[in-house]
Amino acid sequence: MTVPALPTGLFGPDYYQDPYPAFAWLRDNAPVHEFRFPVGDVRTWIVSRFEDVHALLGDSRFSNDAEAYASREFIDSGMVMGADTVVSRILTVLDPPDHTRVRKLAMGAFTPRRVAQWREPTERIVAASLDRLAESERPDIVDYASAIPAAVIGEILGIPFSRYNDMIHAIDRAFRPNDDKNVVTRAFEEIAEYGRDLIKEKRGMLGDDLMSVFIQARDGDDRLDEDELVAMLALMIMAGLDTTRNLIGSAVLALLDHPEQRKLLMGDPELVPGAVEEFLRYEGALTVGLFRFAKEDMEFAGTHLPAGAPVVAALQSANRDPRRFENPDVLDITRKGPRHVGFGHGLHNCLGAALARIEAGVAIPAVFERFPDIALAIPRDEVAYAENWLLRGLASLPVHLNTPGR
Amino acid sequence: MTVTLQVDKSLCGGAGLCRAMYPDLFTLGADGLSEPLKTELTTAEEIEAAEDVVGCCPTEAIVVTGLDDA
Ligand code: HEM
Ligand code: SF4
Repeated sequence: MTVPALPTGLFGPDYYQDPYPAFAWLRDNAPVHEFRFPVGDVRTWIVSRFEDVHALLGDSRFSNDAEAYASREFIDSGMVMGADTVVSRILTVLDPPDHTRVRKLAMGAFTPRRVAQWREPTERIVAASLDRLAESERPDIVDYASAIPAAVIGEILGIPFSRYNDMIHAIDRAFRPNDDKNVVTRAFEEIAEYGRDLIKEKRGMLGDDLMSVFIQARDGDDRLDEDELVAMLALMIMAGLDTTRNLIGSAVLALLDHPEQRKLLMGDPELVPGAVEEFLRYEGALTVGLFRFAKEDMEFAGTHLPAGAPVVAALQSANRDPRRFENPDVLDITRKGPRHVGFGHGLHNCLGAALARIEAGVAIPAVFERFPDIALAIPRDEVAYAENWLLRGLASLPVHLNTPGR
Repeated sequence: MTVTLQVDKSLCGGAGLCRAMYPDLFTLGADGLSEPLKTELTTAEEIEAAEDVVGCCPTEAIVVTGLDDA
């Protein structure tokens, strides 16, 4: 019996534009599929069905900690994020009990009471970003979508603007593929330097903002040390900016593609929270999750995995699995029913979900409210996604804000 | 005084962190939401575990009552 081949190579140019045919094939033919991960050329497994993704993310036989558990091949490929820097010990790579300790200290800053206070600054920042979009000569929704989380996170962290911008740029350099390892190493050193500067400055003006809460967070006698504070600050920027940008961009495109859904949403503000969940399912900001590593030789979903095996959870495949969601490829903002994995699942589920929901819930409808005649400024088939193995987001989305005669 | 463990399903978002941390104390029900496997906690380990999860849950859905310390 021959099975037709994968419709597109995984993590190749066609896949980046539309990964869904490959995901459908994987779910049907090879739900735990071994392949060579092209970035770094490493033996890797990809998990594509909802049920298996859910199980993987909740399974303590897997670790996020590459330094402790990944195969030699993975470590030697240079894929370990920020190896040997303060960033190498961020929350996303920790296992319990370290994860529990840091997550508890960090979660204390995201209480429902504090999150509720972030709506007002978000609304103000969205309004200002719309003004800037209106004045722009070449209005681009991705510019709008980038400006919002950068300003919101800066404001709620309560950090001064100039150093914060330096920090954003250093993080950008650190994660941009670069053959010159020195550039990357230098960028990580800068992250640490800027972080320490910001924290020092902050200690002199503690308030009710997020950074002050991190600095003052206590759990009994426990607290975050200097390196952990720098890592936390960098993590908020790494995890909170491009993700939110991508969700806003993809959601605006989805509503341009589906005028009837857009009309529905604009007619009833009560639909906004459900719509945000549907945007996270339909075109979530992460195509796949961060790498997991098998801590031991094991069976997973009927497949043998050797200790050290790098495994990726295809979040967007899980979110489009017809075994889980009815008509999964249809955008339906009134969808009820099972929860998506757009914010991940289990131990490492998104810490900033409540903030992301506020930002998306304000920023997405606001575009259509302000510019009811908005339309694409390029042919639909020229709209392109960025080639990024982790994040799914539009490279740009040029629009006409006021289409005459429409 | 006994320490009790409950989940407020109206708050829980089904993120599954509680079960991933302590599969002996939590499961996810058919609705995808968390359910405690034990409602009365007796050992110091269980109580500490429950407090950890209270601190990590993204929605403050886990309720532990009957603790002496403030
Ligand atoms: C639309 C916006 C966002 C999306 C779609 C998103 C999605 C995710 C996902 C899928 C994960 C899990 C990754 C994995 O397990 O491999 C995650 C983790 C995380 N996210 Fe988000 N995120 C968003 C915004 C934010 C924001 C605004 C912040 C903070 C300000 C944030 C902070 C974090 C942190 C700290 C983690 C790691 C948690 C842990 O390891 O315990 N995220 N996010
Ligand atoms: S961690 Fe909290 S939100 Fe997540 S399933 Fe458990 S109780 Fe629900």
